[in-house]
Amino acid sequence: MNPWRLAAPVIALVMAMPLCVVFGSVFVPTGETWTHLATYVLPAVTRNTVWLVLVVAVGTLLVGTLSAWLTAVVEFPGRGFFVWAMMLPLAVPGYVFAFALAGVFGYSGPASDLWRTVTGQPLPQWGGGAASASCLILGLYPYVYLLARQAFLTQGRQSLEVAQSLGLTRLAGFWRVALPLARPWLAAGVALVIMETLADFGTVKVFNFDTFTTAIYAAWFGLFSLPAALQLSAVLLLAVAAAVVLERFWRGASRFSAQNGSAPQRRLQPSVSQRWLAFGFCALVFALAFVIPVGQLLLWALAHAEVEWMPRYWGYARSSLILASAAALLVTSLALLLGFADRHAPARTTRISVIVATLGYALPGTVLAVGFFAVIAGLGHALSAAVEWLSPGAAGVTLTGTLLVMLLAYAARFLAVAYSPITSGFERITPTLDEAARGLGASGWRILRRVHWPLLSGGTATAALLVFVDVMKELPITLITRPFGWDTLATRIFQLTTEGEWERAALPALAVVIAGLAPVLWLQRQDTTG
Amino acid sequence: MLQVHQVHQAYADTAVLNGLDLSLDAGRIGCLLGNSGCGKTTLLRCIAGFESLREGHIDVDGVRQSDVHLHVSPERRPVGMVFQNFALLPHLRVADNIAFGLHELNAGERNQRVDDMLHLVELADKRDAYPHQLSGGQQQRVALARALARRPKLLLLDEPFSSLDASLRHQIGIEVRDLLKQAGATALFVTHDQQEAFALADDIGVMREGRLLQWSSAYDVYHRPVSREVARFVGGGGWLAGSVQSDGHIHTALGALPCAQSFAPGATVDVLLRADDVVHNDAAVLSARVLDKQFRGASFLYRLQLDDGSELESLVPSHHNHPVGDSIGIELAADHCIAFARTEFD
Repeated sequence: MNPWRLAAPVIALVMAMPLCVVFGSVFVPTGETWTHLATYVLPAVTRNTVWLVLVVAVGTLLVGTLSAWLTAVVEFPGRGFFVWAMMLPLAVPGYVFAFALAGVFGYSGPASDLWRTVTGQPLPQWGGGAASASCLILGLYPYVYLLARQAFLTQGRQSLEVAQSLGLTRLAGFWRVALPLARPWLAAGVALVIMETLADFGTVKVFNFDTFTTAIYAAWFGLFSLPAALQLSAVLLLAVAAAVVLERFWRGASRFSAQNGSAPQRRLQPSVSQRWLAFGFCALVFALAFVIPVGQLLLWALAHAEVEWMPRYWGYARSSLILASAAALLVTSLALLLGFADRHAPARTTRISVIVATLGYALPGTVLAVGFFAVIAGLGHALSAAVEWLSPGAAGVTLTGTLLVMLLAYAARFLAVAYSPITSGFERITPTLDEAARGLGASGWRILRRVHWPLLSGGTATAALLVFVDVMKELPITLITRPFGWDTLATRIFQLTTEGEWERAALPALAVVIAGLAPVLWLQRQDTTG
Repeated sequence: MLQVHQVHQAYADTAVLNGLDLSLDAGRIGCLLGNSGCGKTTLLRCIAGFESLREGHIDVDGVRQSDVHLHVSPERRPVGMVFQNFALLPHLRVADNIAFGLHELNAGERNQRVDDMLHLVELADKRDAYPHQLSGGQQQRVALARALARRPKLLLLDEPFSSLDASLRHQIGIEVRDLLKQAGATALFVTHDQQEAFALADDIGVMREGRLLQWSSAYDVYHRPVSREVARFVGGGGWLAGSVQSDGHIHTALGALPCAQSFAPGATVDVLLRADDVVHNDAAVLSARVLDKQFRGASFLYRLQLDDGSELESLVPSHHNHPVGDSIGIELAADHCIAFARTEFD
């Protein structure tokens, strides 16, 4: 039997374990804890989550679509800069974003000082919901921006010209042609935003706005109830599933919206005042979403560098680096394995397994962490029982609280991130390429070394980099599953912010942001070179 | 219907159109023929209003559309356009695509117009189909119907057949011509394919490097080219040196040819002989050596060399299969000829 046929289903099975456990938990009675949750926690949490998702979806849609349309179709000062600058907020994790903006606009922040000097009034303070929503909009609009930009670029100038040749003004053309054609991309972008919003833990935690993720965390660390945490996760997963279905559906629909062979884009040339309006909009978004929060971090970090700059800091950085490297290695290897399996055993089971194995990108980290914890805890009990039975009195086996749970959860969450650049590498290795190499007398290993690897190495490096940085930024999985005493940059930032020590959290936060910029710049470079 | 006068257009500092003149009468189908990069699509876009002019002016139906100071925006011109890849809107059904530009009509009129158009292009049964469910030829007819629905004074078509299968092009070309004639449309299209131009157009303009070399009927472009350039580009053939005799005939290595043009007696000229002007006959007195041959099914296209070194082309029924290097008998079957006076540059 072809061993490749087994690889994909095995990986899929491991990655799907937390899902099974979470859904299985629905049937486990938890009695009073559940009654307590259903009465006091669920109504508020559901209301908050739904509200947050709606506001963030609409907000990112507006900001992302407008900035994408401007940079793709309109000529204005600084356009070339904003094309990539508008992606930069992706480098800032939500929990960093939240406390940096809270610092700027908070009661004693520089923005309210300025407001008070100018108007004599205190700056109106927003509630946790509005503050969380604005932070998430500013942090997540790049998902809509990137996809919408793709849509507007592939439509080309032609779609607007079609409208004009049929008697519509440019504005009417935008509403009746450009926007409807971009609909699948916009919907897919918003679906991603909804998944990220449902998964967000760091931002809402900073503003004490209770959503499902914080409720799961609280059930876990406050009530010490694994079943309750699992059941809350199950409810959250239903919402996630809806978003996934939406995304898959619209991605599929976008096939029909592609305009073939569009002429190269030549941008609209608006009047001078319109150009500066476009510049003003992009500059405002970029300032709020990147310059101001990162600037605030820089100021804090400089002011507190001497206090925080101590050996312990290197310890956090080292833990982060070790974890991120190990995860990058594991996840990239798994993704390569899936890629080879898909190539060498292109059966239905393989394809379904790949879909299941890469589903984790949609699952909130809290859910995955709790799910894997439950799986490993169960495994540990079973092993202990086995050991006890074999040699009574021997020490039990503890698997929870080891790096194993952490790495598995990372793998489940980020496998899709690694898989997509690697498949685009595999797509370049066409069957005829293998045949051509064989025709030139190359054998199996030689083909792998001389043909496959050079074509795969770029995608593999991208995959490893993306996973590395995502793990550096990741908060909920790290927080829930880390072994005792393992502190990373992310968990350190979390601790400092929950203690209100924002200024001291700036230095590690800045390190995470700088790491996060790497893939954005790397992908940008690849974009321009090839 | 369409007047283009001394049009200049440039991107950055590269001139794309250099002082172009043409006029197209109502009800006629014109064609701009030229290789890619000759500026033919740019001219079309200038007429549609997607590009502005550096110099000159464009009138449609006697109304100024573009000049140096004036630029009527594309949506307000009485001009329709069919794009190279048809550019149907993928999210709209066939009927909605056709109705897209009819926003000025009320619902009843709009439906009536859509029905008329669907009837005209014979796609009434595809009314509710989406563009991706149609064949290439059907998509093209929808694109035509959509552009014609607004009853434009002038219809522009950008390489209308280039995205169709080669095997379909000829037949669809004829269909489109019939359709345009039936609708009484005035149309201008661009192509790089001579056969397409001959099959569809009443008037052909040969373009090269932003200039219009000749603008006349399709017949004249082939049989009365105004320059060597046009002659070479449209139809091709072989060249033969000749001298003009006192009776106006031109004496060549293949004998004397009648010539409608008037040259000074004794002048040296070059005579263009199309491949169908040179006929193979085993009994002929004259012979030429076969340099090369191309099988074309019903016929061979032979490239021949005369004793004096000049090269000719000849279209010969394909049962006359001669090997390269053979000498074959040839004679002329031209009742008139095209000649150009030698200048010091030739």
